[in-house]
Amino acid sequence: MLNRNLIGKTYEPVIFRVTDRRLKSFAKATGQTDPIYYDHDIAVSQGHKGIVCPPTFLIVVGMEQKNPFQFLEDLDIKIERMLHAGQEFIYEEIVYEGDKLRMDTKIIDMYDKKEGLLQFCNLESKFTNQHSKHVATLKNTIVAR
Amino acid sequence: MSFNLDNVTVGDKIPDLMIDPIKRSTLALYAGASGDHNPIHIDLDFAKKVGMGDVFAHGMLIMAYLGRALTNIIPQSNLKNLNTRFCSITNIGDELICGGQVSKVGNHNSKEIIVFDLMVADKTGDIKIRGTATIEK
Repeated sequence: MLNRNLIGKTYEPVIFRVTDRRLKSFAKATGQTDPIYYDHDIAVSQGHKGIVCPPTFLIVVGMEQKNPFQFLEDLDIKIERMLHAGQEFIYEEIVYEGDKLRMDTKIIDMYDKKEGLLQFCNLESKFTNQHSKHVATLKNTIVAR
Repeated sequence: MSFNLDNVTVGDKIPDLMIDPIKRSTLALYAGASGDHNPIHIDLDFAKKVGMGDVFAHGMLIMAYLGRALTNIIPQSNLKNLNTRFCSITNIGDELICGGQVSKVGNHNSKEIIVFDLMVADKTGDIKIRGTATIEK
């Protein structure tokens, strides 16, 4: 069973500058065809502050930590036993190229199914921008087999 | 193509988004762009060692495709929530179809909302992701 004493554990905040380079490479990798996701001038001409962060882009911020899978080590889960079971994005504000974000992550809950064969853990990451505005919340469910 | 948010009824379908077959290079590109270097998605030797037979796609890549299906038809500023469950693994060669339909039109906190039920499946009908999106008008 996962160590439930870790419920409530918080992680070092991650500071992340949203660069056009990261957005362009994300757009290419996910096959974006709408230029507001990779072309600054077109995005601005359509009334945006800059290139728009697409709906799932903020997932990349968690990968900027020194060890993005630290929580798996804390939970004593081998990476090959882990599957991403669910993901929720709650949007408050659109994030743009040039924004400086802060991500604060916390372990929210743990539970099991199938008499303990599947162990679940919920993490929540809150994102604020350079104006201290809350822009999004990500809720991540992982399962250990 | 866009979706007229002022004239929506339950059951209205969003246009299907067809995704090119998943290649190893698709996963390598997404690993680089997302920073998710979990070897199960990019390292065949690792995948075999842990008994998977082959690498498989990042769930978040499939969710990104679903996001595209939505922002193709709705301004992103209207999107308030995107919530998915990952149902099965996407393998190399899978050809995915993203689709969905309106499941609810109503009010929440005195704002008009539209809820979509969403799905990504491969050509054999194997469902990869189920989800919902909440749009605020």
